[in-house]
Amino acid sequence: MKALGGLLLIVRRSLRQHLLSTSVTVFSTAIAVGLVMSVFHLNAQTRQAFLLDGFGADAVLGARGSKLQLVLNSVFHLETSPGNIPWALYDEMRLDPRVAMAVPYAVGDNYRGFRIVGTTLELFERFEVARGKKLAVQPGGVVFDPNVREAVIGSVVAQNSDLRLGTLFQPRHGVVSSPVGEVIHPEEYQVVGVLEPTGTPIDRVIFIPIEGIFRMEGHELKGAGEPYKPEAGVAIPDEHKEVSAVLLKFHGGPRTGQQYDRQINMQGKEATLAFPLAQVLLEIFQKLGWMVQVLGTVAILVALVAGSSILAALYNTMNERRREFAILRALGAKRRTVSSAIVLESSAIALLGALGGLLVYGGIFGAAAYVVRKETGVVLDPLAYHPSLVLAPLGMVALGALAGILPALKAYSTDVAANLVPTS
Amino acid sequence: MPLLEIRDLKKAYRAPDGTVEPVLHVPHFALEAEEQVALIGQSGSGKTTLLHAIAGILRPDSGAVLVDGLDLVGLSEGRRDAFRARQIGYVFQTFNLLQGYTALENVVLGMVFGAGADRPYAAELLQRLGMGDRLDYRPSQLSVGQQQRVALARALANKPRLVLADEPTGNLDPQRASEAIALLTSLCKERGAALLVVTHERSVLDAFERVVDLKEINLAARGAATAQGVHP
Repeated sequence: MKALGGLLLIVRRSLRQHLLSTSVTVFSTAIAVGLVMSVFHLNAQTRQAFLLDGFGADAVLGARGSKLQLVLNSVFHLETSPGNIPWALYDEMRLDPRVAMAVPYAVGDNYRGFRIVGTTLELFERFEVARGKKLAVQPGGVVFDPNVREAVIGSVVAQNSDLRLGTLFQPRHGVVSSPVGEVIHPEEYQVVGVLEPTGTPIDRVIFIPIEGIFRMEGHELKGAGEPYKPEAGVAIPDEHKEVSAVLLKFHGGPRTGQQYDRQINMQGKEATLAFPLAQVLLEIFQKLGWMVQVLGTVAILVALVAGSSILAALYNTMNERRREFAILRALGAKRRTVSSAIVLESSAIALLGALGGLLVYGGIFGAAAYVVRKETGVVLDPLAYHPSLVLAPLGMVALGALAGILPALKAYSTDVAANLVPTS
Repeated sequence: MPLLEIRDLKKAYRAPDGTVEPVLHVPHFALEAEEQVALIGQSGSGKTTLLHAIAGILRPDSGAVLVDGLDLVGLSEGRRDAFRARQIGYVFQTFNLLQGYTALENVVLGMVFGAGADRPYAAELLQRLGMGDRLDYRPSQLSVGQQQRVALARALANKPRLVLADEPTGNLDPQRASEAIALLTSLCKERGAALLVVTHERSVLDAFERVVDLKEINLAARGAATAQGVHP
């Protein structure tokens, strides 16, 4: 124990004496640790976020076509809508006793790139954005009146646009913002509520009453096949209405979903049911799985290279340090004390690298989380626990210790008498 | 019982041509506690090898090195290291200070493998040697004389019972050599340590209670031509 102070002094001095090679090695180790942590944690968190763990809908009903496109459009508010389905289908679902919740979405407009979604109050009353957590409006705001041109905006919209409580705005036609040839609808909507942050794509959405989408100037309803233009003050017959998607939650769990899956996807021709939602998205991850594996392999290879660089950096100093080891031995240091100092030194380099790796991880994860949040509204949490956050630094320190063994053996075998003689 | 007693100590090296060259053959040598002895000998007469054998740095081929009655030759390397750290101070010809360390750290390092680091004591020792204002200097920032003082402080830091010095004045002019020897002998006396100094500087011999010619105790060195150039 008393030799520990001496060991630490030897390690400190050696690190200082070889400052340049120490710094380069620590830097490369930090990059390696940061990469490993980022790749594995980002993968885990994006999977968790995009596989809709705890999302309050079991399925999405939409136009005939790609399930993936339907989910991306209606859940993540990405991509274009695959088309519309007649209001009657939504009504059928809404009235079916096996359905616990049916929230219609009508899309097609945006404001400064943020999508406008027409919906009903059921979204706020029954939809759970996460297990047991409904959408909530921040203090001072209210949910829109379905008969008035009012809007409730997501928290990211409030942060990144000019929309605030009370602001009036005019929707733009199309789901994406177009700086050239933008069609501005004449209808003015007023923001009456800002949603509490949810960490989901909903934060990037502007919700208005679904009737507003139907009646937006320039919109045509084709629920009955023929184009229909709503008139002010005249109720829209249901057969003309159409919706882009319906978020569904079933009574009876997966069995009901499977019944609908057979009924709509196999026997019907009008619509597509994306069920189960996670399965639809899992296909993306399965398709991109090879990429994650490649990234993970590259990160681990970088870690191995970093470990090798520790070995090379230390091994290269062994010749110049033979005299130092001989002196330490002559002062009474045991062989294993001297070799332990080398292993401790390589571990210290790895530890410094691991600590630096936390910064690198913070940088990479922060940048990735920023982009993901900006593009999808999904919040990734760098502080959430993941085994890689512990295993990568510990593994690097272990690898560093391992890298020190060969130089340590060289130090161990130093011939004291031969290296104490004057060199001049 | 003498503090140090050597009995029939033998050490030989194998030359590159395969022949075995005897370097040491000391039938008997003894040093009493607190005694101060100078060992003189020509270059290549096995002086350093003898000191290394006494310090337990190398193991002789045969014989016994008894320090306070304990035969170092029979000990494992690890126990010899531990014994050296606690009981023996060593002043090297070129001081062998660690270049990346300050004067104080060099002295402290001399203690950590023995009784344990005691920075205040190390600082006090350096102060006693007139190095109080150079504690944080590195060896390269010190003069030769100052480096020697640091080496001396390091050798005495563990309060050893035996101090070995290998040509401690080899790099000094005659005046400084005499001063250095005076310091060495007085410090050892003050601290109650026996002193065995290997030197070929005849001008410093007066400072010692006893002077031994290595040729008289080392039978292998008698054929100087045989020993010359084989090993220090």
